Amino acid sequence: MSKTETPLDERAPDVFQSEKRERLKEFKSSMLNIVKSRRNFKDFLFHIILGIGIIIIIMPFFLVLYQVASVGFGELFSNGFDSFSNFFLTEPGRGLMGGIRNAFFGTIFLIILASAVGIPLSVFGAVYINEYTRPGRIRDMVEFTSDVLAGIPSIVFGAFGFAFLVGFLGLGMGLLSGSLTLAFMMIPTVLRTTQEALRAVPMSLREASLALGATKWSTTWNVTMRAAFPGVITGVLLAIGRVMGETAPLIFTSGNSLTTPTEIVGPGSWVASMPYTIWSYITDPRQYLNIKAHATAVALMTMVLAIDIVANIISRKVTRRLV
Amino acid sequence: MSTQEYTNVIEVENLSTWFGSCKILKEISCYFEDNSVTAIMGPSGCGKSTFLRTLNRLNDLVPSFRQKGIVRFMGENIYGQGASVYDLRKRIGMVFQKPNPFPMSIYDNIAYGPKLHGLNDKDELDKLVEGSLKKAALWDEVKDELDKPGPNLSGGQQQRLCIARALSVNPPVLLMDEPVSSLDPISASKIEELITDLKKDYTIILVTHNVQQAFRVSDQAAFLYLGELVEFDRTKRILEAPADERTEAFITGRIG
Amino acid sequence: MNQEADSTSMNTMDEKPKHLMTMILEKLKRPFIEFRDADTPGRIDFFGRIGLAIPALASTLVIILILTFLWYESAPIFTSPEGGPGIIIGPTWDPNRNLYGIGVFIAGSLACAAIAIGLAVPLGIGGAIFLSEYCPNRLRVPLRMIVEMMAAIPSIVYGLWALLVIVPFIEKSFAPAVQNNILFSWMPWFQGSTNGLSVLAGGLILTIMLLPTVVAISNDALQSVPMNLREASYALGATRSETARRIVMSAALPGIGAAVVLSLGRAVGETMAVLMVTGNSLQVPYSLFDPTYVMTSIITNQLGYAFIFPLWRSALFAVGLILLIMSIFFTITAKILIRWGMKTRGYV
Repeated sequence: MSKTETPLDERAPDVFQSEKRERLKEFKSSMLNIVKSRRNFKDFLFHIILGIGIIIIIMPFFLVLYQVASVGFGELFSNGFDSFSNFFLTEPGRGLMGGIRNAFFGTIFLIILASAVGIPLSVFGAVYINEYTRPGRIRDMVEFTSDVLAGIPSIVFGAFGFAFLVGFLGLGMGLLSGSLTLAFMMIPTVLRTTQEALRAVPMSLREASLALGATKWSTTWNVTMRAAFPGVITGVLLAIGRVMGETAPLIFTSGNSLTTPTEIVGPGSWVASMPYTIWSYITDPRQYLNIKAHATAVALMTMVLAIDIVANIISRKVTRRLV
Repeated sequence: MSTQEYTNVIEVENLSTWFGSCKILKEISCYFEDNSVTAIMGPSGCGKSTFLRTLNRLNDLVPSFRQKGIVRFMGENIYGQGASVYDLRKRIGMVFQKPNPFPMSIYDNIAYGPKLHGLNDKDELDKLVEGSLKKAALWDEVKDELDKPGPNLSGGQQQRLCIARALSVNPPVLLMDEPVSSLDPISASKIEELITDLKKDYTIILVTHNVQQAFRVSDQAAFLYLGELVEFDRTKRILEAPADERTEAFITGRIG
Repeated sequence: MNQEADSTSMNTMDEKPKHLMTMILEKLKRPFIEFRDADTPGRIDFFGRIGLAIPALASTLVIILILTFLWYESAPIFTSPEGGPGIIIGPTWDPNRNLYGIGVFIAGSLACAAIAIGLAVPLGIGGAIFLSEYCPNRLRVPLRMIVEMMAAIPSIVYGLWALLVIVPFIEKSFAPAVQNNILFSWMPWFQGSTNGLSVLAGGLILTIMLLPTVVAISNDALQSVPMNLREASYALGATRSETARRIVMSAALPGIGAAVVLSLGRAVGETMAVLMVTGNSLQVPYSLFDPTYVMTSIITNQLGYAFIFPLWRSALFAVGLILLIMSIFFTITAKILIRWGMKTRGYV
């Protein structure tokens, strides 16, 4: 299309100024058509039904948001900002009357440790299969196994962590076992998104670097990875967001604790997490714990959704730049 | 749509179109005679395809599309109030640049259109499929494998399947948007032959950027340049003695 | 790969055929020769490649470890006289009497998954069609954002909401409404009194959790259908709904099939939300209002104190093994569907 070649000022004024009237006319005639023909009516009906469908689909999102946020924020800000910071910075204490410092920092420690193991493992793996292998058995196998890994129920990861890390390797429950289990769960997401990002980097970019006499290694890290970086970050954020809300893998691997952990392995490393805390608080008969569960849930949800939105924005920016 | 008095099957009067605020076509007026082949030529980006898609209102799918002017099909304004776009598209067939058979069997590809418009009788459909395929000169090649998926055919066969599909609803007018540009030379020449054959029963409007092809198959030609209709006359006249220097530049290969 | 590597491999190709052993030896030696001849950046390259190869195998290694350990842990129940492969259909679970029938959990899981799939698939596909075919451009991005955020909400939060909203709704509104209505009250699947913790509650919350998956994957499949197919259909005079249903849907069928299979896998594997609302009672559900026990719940609830009883623990790992096999099966099915789509459709 010669969009750029056409002068912009050659607009037909009557077409654009009377646009509203035109629209109304169009609407009227389309209404007329709907009544007139059976096929048009069917199309119209289909449209309406699907529209109602999409409203039903997204409604739970707002219902969940409303329920959790109305109770949760009420508790968080019951006493202004003080109660907000107290909630995250005090230990539960006697009768679990205090805050959720144990769970808040527990989740953060778990995520940091899991990322430290899981992200390099999957990013390096993706780089290897995308840059150093030809399409073939090894690549198929890695892609297949990571897809299988993505489909495994989280409780199976929990049971596996319990059998392998806690039992067989003798790490015992605690921070290390829990975060390793989470790290395993991060692998497929990060690996596949990194791979996608690497695949989107044009071959000519690599060739340009290789033509200057660079080795494959420096080309990969200085050119290819730099171009693919936003995509990798998106994958990492998505994985973190997903793993942050997991309860089931942690029940048998990280234990639970009313204080912030002091070591990585051993008896002092038992660690609480926010999802686990929500679970144990909501199933508790004490009413004030239910409200605390809501507050924890709204905090967790805010964190997860914020991460998700950032990932979304980055990935949208990237696609816009590449297209 | 009732049949009114008309002299030419499609008449275009002062047609202008916009995508958003970009003016693509500028006050175009022309007409298309019954049972003739009209070639629309021009360098890429001159609005040829937009023009073609305005004729069967396929541009309505683009939300930012606006048009002004009158297009009369069989005497009736297609952008007029109460005009049925589905009926219009049924009566103006279209063949696209890239062959685009539906991912279903050859038979279903052709039966799709008639079924939409209410034909469900099995025997009639069988006859129609056979007739359409014969008109598109594909019947002999595929008559034993009508159950095979359409996309499994070769490129040239796919394009002929698409022509057969367009013919299945028996439209008086056939729009072709560079139908051979993505094919190999042998398939292309087959389709050019086919176009000459089809002229007997159909009015064909053919978009092309290939001057030789326009010369070979068309009776009339229109030359579009940057959205303007530069020349519109008998093909022979335009190609042998272009009146405008832009046309001459295009024919001799200096622009395009 | 640097220049030396290519020339070495060329040389071996050109030489006369040699004994198999020599060829293997040469192949093994080649990296070392390559390394010896390389300069410093070349050596970094060499070590880097080996360093990267190990993480690449991590996912495979984890899968193998999971399979090995679940098998190793569940082997006792499959070989012991109390257990055996028959436990898969065994209807009674009573560790005190050494009865480890896990059929009851499989039935519960399948019941919940069936409700969820039955509701989520038509609704989700409809939503995906709306997003890709009907939705005004202005609404498309925010709607997709919301759907993606729905997928990101932790399952424990859904569980909390279901426990506080869906369960009371079933107990106080839905169950009385259908059971007092002459139109519905005779139906066998609406029988029995309920406290809201039921198969239905599990199925409903699962529906909500599956919807984003179904919508997102189906929408991707629909959007990858080339625009020119739609145009061809419109050019024949088809309406939007006819094009959507007959052309776009049939072209995107393999992708949509994959979406259904993958969401089935998620439905069976979902843990926390279902655990909180299904009532966890050891019975095969006959009515929508019956409580039930699903596979994921039994592991979550009992592994913590069963691990000192070898058989009990082993039976729980057997449940995990079955879950694992099911999820692998679903993944493979989805992959086959996609591959089939590639073959017959050329895109997807």
